[in-house]
Amino acid sequence: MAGDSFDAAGLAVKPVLEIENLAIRFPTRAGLLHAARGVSFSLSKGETLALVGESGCGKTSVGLAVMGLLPKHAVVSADRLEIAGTDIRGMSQSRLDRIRGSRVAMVFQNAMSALNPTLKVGTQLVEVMTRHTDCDARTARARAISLLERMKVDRAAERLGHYPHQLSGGLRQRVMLAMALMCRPEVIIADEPTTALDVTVQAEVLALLKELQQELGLAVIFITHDLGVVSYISHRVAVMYAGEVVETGPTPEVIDNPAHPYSGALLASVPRFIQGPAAPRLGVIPGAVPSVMHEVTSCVFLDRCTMAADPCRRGPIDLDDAGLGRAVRCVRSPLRETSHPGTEGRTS
Amino acid sequence: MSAVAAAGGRKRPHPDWKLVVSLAILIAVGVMAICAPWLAPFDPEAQQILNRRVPPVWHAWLYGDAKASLLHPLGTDALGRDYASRLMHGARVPLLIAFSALAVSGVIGVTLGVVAGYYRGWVDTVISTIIAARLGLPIMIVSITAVALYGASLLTISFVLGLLLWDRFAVTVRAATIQLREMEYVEAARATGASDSNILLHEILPNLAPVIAVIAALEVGQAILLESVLSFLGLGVQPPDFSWGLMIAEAKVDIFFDPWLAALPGVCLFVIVLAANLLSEWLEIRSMRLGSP
Repeated sequence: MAGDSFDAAGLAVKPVLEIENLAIRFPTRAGLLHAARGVSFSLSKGETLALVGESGCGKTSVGLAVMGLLPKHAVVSADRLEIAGTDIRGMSQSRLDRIRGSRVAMVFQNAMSALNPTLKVGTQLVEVMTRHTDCDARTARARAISLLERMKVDRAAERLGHYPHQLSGGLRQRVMLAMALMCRPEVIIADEPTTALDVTVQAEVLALLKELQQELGLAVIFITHDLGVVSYISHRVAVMYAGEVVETGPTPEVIDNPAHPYSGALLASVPRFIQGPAAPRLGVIPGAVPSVMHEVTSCVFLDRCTMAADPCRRGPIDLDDAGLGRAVRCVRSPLRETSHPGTEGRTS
Repeated sequence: MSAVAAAGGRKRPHPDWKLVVSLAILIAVGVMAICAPWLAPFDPEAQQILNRRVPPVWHAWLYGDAKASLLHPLGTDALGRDYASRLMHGARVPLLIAFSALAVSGVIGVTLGVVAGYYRGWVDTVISTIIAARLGLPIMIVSITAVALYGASLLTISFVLGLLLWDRFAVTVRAATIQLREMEYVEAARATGASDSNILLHEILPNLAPVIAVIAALEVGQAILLESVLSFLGLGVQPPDFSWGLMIAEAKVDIFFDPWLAALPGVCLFVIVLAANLLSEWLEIRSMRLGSP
């Protein structure tokens, strides 16, 4: 599979997060809503995977599924859903509580609303640690201070006595990050952690996250729609569209040479700051995101694709290996036609 | 007004008159009630047959009434007991009952409301039905029945009122909890492995504090009024114990001759309930300004 990683000696490293064929459905009054289908990826220590896609493509649902935080009525099925070798499918609430925060932690988009306004940040940080380990409040407090100092928060000890509303947006996001790291988790799920911040603060927080990730060997799922952030922070990227992963691969390759027409169109719709007559028009993708209320009977991108042809209509498209650690869900992809002669029989 | 002065005014805003007035009244009444044995000029039960129905001191100033004097500033009642002392002592029972009823009803109402709002589903259905059933109970009739069955004592009345006045707590807390459970910090807490009880105690409850305070202030006024009604009807504390409600009841035979005997405890009741309502209103406006649910 494309997700296999190798350590320095070239040996395959056991991934800390493995997801195979994850499907998330929400029963609604209008029918079954397919928030995600056939999502597979794995993540090794020290690796960052970016989940990219527009609003509603299912990227947040995937993150919540890994945390076991989806609402109760969500129907989750997967062939495999393992964190550090522990299967979390059908795990009881209390066992999930023990994993959440200690082995896998989440950083939320809006640090203002994700921190309890009535508790001091120190209390909230200490609580996470005393909940999962039998260390006393003093040890937890020392760890909170050292983590905040590590994040270049000045007067860290003093900040612990502050309430969230007394801190700036950047500081709050650092507190969120510290809260996620309190118990030294293996996996961090960051759901658009910098979207609510302005660009300078965003750059600081991203740099910090990248540093910590390398230093602590964290496996990070970074959920975002900002392609600039993707190329900065992630090693691999998975592009999602209408609940499906349409392309995965090492970030530089996917950004420079997208194999799926949707990835290409997404990259073309990033504004470029060039003036004058040579300025390219901002790319747009015609049409709208398809409804996720029914089963897939063809390529999900069919209606908006410039390359659509007969084979795209024949049935659901598989996510196929395209070589070099890449996989793409497109029968007309140039990558698949050149690097994988074996699939040509199906495309023509 | 100059801009500087306006900015200065914003820096240190004048305390709201509602807060000042209500707190002043509540503290004054509270101190009077608690310290009545030391503050009251006379024994509230000492009868002076020769000094019966002495009018309050302002009768001397307004009508030149020779009997009225500063010795008994608020006069004496039909048995010659000092009315000022009786009013001070008479505040103790209503306040005691109001606060113990509040404690009972607060615990019941907040627990039911939080549980219903947090867990929803069938738990919510059951609790909402209990709330609806409670709202269908006429408070007066149930308390009269309870007093008839168990006798009129401080304990009975506190419990009866406590068991009847939790509905507003439950309804409001339930609605606020439904809002709070969707907050991102509740999900964030769950993401750090917080159990339901962690979340209820550390995330939901502290954020309910403003709501609970508003209702509590309102309910104190309500409980004081209800105690007085029960005492007035003779279902509250029994003589020789007394409360403002009982004093009004004793004064009603004299209402056409010495109306101040009924008016004074009535005014006391009015003022303290007004203060409780003002405090509740102030808390409500403040919590809205802070953006709490």
